[in-house]
Amino acid sequence: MVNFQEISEAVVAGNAKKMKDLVEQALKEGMSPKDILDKALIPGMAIVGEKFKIGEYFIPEVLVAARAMNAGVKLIEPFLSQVEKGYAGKVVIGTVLGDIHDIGKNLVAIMLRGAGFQVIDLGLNVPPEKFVEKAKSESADIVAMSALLTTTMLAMKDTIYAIKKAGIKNKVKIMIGGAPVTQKYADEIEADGYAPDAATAVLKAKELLNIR
Amino acid sequence: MGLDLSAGKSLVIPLLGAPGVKLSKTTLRENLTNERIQLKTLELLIEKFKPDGIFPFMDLTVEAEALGLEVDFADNDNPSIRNHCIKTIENLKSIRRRYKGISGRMPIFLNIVENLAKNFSLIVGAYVIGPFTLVGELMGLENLCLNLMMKPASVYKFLDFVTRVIKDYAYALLTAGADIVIILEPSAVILSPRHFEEFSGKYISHLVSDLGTKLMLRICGNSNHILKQMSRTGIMGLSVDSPVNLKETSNIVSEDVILMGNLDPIKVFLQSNPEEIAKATRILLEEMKGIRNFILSSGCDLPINTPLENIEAFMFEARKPLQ
Repeated sequence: MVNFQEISEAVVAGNAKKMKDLVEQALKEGMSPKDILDKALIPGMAIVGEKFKIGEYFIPEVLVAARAMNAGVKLIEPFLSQVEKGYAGKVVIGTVLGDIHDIGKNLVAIMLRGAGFQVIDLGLNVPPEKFVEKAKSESADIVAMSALLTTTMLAMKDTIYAIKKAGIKNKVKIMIGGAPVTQKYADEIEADGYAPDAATAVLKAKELLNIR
Repeated sequence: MGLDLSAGKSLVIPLLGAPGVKLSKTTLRENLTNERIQLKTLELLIEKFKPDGIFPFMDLTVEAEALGLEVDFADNDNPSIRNHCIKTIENLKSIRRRYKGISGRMPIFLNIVENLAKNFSLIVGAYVIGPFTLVGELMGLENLCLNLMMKPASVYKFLDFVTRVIKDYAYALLTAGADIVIILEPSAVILSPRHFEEFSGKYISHLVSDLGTKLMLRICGNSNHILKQMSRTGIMGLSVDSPVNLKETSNIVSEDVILMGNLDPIKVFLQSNPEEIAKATRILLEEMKGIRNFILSSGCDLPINTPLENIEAFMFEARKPLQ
């Protein structure tokens, strides 16, 4: 019998092939897809986030772990109803204007999808008006912005200004993250939330939408 | 002019370039694509700020462009590679076959260096991209990260080739008269110390052993976790960003290694005022007092909108004698 811990370990080890075998086996054995997600995949990625935080894992290790998690999510997704997915909310995500680094943003998107969020990924070098337009047309619950550079981080402020100007600041929650970003900066520019890594970003998104 | 740190006084070489467009009333794009315009801008920067050394504009797309990749330019934003399309060994073989040495915009930068070395008596620097960062430009950084975890042998092949390309360009820059060539390896900041040694440091060591002692290494952002490994490459010096404590770094690396840095280009140069920048400069100089081999500089390339009076205040404070 496959157990949750084995699946979690496959996430932590970044072993997509083993993940596929284990999840297929677990589904055959009647394990609930929702349990696979909540009790194995997400906790596995939380361990990865912790290892990243303490400097044991770096971006390449996190990327292969996210890839392994994604392999598991893809297998269970068809079996999850909207309710079971715990449809958590809609997130419009992108790397801000002037910044062409998308690894961090991609990781957060994978993690959010894994946690049941619907994610609309605008890609990189996204101008403020694009964030606003999509947040409006998709009735997004969260706008999430990423930046790798201290220079481009400043575009987050411009985007928040555009969101305010469009009159939707009270309709969406704004999350920011990326290497140079801090809680202090988030407070300064009036973002609703900041997360230092992808695993924390999921917790923060849930917190902002009052999801347990 | 050679690099001489023996006088006991720190050299002052901010990473100028982009802010100079205000002096020459030009755009970043014009400077990166036109040798005459960039030279004029650099001359104006030298005249106005009188630094101990000057570097051409920083541009991380030159080598990838020379290998045939397309570059998107904006008037006043850094250029970027349009498609990171060299993903497979077959793609690599194809660019390797076509590679003919110096090409693309490399001659622009070579001529600028040659001109500066001939006409100015100050230290002339130059930049080349680092091997790991260049492979990231070729195949995409995310792809590179996955490959180094799962197919490292293929990554070694890419690194072997790009190291040759970088060596050819760095050799040409040194021959043109560069006193220092800084290897820009920003993408390596995401690696663990072990992976840094395996996928970047080892190749930088090859460059050092092939090209000699005029190479420095620069990694942006928080490189604290790989400082030891960076210095072990045999490099002449390290240029580090503001999250690194330079004083502590001087205790980690051998005293022969030059340390260059590292006032915050955003919070200090871009966003503060002349009084604040003078204070930050003074604090750094006090901290580094007595440390040989220190070059006072900005933590990174200065942003295009950096107020010129802030650079002036930095230079003024840097030239004052220490109490």
